[in-house]
Amino acid sequence: MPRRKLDPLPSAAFNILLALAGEDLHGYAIMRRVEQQTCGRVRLGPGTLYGSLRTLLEAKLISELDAGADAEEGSERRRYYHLTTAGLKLVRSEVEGLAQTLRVARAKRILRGADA
Amino acid sequence: MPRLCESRARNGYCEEQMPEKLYALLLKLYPKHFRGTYGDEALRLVRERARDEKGFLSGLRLVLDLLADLAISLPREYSNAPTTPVAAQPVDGDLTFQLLDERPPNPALLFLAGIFSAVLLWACVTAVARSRTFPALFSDSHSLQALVQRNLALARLRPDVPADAYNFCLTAYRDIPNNSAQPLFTFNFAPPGASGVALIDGNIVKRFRNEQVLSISANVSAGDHQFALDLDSPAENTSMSRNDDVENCQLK
Repeated sequence: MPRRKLDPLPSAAFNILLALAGEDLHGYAIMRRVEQQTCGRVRLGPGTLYGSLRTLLEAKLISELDAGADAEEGSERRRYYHLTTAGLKLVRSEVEGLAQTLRVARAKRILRGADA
Repeated sequence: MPRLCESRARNGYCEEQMPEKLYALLLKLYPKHFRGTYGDEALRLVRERARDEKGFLSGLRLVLDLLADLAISLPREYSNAPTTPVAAQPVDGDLTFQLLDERPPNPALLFLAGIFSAVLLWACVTAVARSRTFPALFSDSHSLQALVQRNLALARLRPDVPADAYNFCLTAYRDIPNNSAQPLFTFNFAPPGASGVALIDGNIVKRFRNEQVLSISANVSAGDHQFALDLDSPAENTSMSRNDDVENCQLK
């Protein structure tokens, strides 16, 4: 049982799960991927990032891969994180909820420009 | 404790960067379990961001990000700190108790402590801002300027008191020995200091010359006494303090 509540799923946790969909990443890469997928709006700080990763690990939404050495010889060992099946289901559910919200917003002509 | 420059030497960028040094300090504020598990990785993340985001503005943004992140994540880390029983062995018939490692602090106590700290900080800042100099924290009735003004006025009324003698009545609440830890009075004078004599009940207790910090000690019995400071020439007094067991009394 995760110590921290994931219902509703916090924005940081959602973005981390989304970043891990399709590839395993280490902490810094997750931060960069989240920045990229939010068009620079979200830059996770180390405290938020690793706090969220621990919560997701406790909830078994992600798993930690055995730390292997980086591609560069002699570099520090990193922890890589992998999206579990439960994590994938949760992020899919969240995205579907957002898609439904987006449809409603479009129907109400709230969006402007290319997103409309 | 995370090591700052171990891998950087291998990676060829071992110069210490300000955000990383700052974060190494901030990291000490996090609970032990967080530092132990993620301290190295968090430091590495900051190091890599600092390496990739060069320039003053980027560096400033990184520092602000770290401070904002600290404000958000620190309370959460403490509120979610694991509690690990380290002594929970029952002993036959005896009361036992558990010691909890890194027990999260009570939120109400944290809130009260925050309020108390803020009030204390405000009080200190206000006191310093209003006083400007430490001596002004003493009330006017204890400042030498007030005494001088009062005694000069007295001197005008009493022809037997010379105009340059500063005297006043003091009440000692107990016997004060010459070697008391606190002198009777300490006067601070602006350079070049003051010269003259100090008298108690007409007896000279100290002669001084060009003293900027003038401490006066003497054997004084409990009760009222007349104190006089006779300066050879006017000197600018900056502050004065007195023994805790001495108080001003009515001039005789």
